[in-house]
Amino acid sequence: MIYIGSILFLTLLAAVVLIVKIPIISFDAIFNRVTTNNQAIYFKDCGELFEVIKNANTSNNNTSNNNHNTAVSLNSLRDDVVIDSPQIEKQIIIENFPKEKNGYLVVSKVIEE
Amino acid sequence: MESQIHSIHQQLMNKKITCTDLVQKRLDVLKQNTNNTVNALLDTMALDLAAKVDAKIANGETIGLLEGIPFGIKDVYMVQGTYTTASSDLLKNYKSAYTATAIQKLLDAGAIPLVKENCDSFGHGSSSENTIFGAVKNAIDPNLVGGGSSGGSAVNVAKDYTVFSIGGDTGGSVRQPAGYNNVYGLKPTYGRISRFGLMAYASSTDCVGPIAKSIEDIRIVLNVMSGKDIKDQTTYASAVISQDGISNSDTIKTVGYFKNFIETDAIDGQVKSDFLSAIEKIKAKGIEVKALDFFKSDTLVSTYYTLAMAETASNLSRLDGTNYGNRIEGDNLKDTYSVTRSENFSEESKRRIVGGNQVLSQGFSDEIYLKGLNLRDQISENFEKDFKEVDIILSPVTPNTPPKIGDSLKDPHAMYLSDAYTVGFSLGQLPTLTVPQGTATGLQITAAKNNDELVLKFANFLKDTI
Repeated sequence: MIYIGSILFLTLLAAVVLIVKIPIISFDAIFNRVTTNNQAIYFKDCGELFEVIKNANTSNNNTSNNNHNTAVSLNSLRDDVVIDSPQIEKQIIIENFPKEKNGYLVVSKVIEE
Repeated sequence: MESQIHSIHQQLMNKKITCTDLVQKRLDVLKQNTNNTVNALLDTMALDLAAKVDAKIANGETIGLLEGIPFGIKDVYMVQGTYTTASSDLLKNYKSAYTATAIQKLLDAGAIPLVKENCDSFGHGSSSENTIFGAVKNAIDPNLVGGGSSGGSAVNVAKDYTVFSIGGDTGGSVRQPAGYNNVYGLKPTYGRISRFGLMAYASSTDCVGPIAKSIEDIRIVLNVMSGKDIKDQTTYASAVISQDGISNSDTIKTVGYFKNFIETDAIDGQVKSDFLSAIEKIKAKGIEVKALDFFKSDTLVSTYYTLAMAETASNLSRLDGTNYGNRIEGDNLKDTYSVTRSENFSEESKRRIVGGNQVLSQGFSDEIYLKGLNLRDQISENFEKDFKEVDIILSPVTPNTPPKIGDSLKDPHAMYLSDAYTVGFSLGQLPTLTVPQGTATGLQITAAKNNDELVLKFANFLKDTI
């Protein structure tokens, strides 16, 4: 179930990423090229770093995150309300804009391909 | 009881020194220092705050224990209105819009921030050489690295430029530089201190960690920063650790150590014999010592880097120069993203982002990333089992002494392996303290989750034993 979910999720993610034209860096394999519609940036050398983990002996095939028990309880969620930021915070955010015009963020031309 | 914080507090209260003088002197030595520990001095803010402390004392008001105590901040924490560069080209002109919770708590307690400290860019490194501000030089031997990624913080404490510093520890980034510079450095239990405002590296192991010259100072700063924070949903409420609570180690009956950390060719001969000698001294005090089995070092390092790279690839994907950062304009939006990231990330950061995207990509995620998560669960289960057998696990901080500046950059794989003894405890989200004793780069004391008090208790015991 998790396996299927992961495949679906990644495929959908790749589709969404392609639709909005965010660059993808991907290992150069046929299925990656198919999934990414040949539009990603590909690389060939994967190095040896991950070989050890690929060969490690895992006796437990359950891939659920049974140790990741830091999820917050529903009772502890913060209130779903809009909190207005202080003026100084807004001012600094605007200062950080790489390009600014009349208080608006200027971005590059939308992709046209 | 040794404590710079208590000592300075007394001197301020007794009017033997003024806070302004104290802060000015520390700013002067920071400015002149040749160890490359400073990314930015917070001189105006520090002197303003110091003047307020002096005014309070002059008015006969009582000041809190941390009021007027100068400290340093690794340059990955947000402090409103200050530059927070993560030692990177991408954020070299980025100004924090808000303040990190942990730092805000220290400011609320009256501590005075002096400096944003040099570190490996985005925490990516174990030597503090991966930085645009120049390699941090070791406090003991400037030809050697300062350790990393919180190298500037550890060196500042070791050189007495700051009374304490706040580092960040994802896989050993507080404990290893603390060991390399002979000071104390704590990675608390994951979730004890809020990560809000700490630039995310690997969110599932990122921890805020204090570095200081005494156990008591670590305790004081830890207490102030701890606690549940609505802005970080992984935080939990923790009890205050009292001075009395860590003064007596009678409850510690059994100590364990991992055989494979010691019985390996990768460990330096002197580090090994010093560690075993420390074990004998502990045994001589009537404590039972058990040799434990653990995962191989290379499995730990690979698991850690697999997960950390996956998380950092995801966390850093937002750094594209659109809303903030050093945007480099390309022909179109896509090209702008590409050029901005290619030109502004360091080689090491790019290596980790590419590695992370690889392990998350279709066809690899099941075999590598999910397997990494699975191994992480097994590592945690192993720790739970171990802590039914022993109260404390003791280990060296690093297998070797600090390398010369320049050597780590030539061999990244060797740098990753230098984290072999620290990353396992990060994956287990356990409290671990480096103490500057036992071996050339110190010892790590680890206890079960949420048992940070026991770690400090055993550190006090070791101080009198070794």
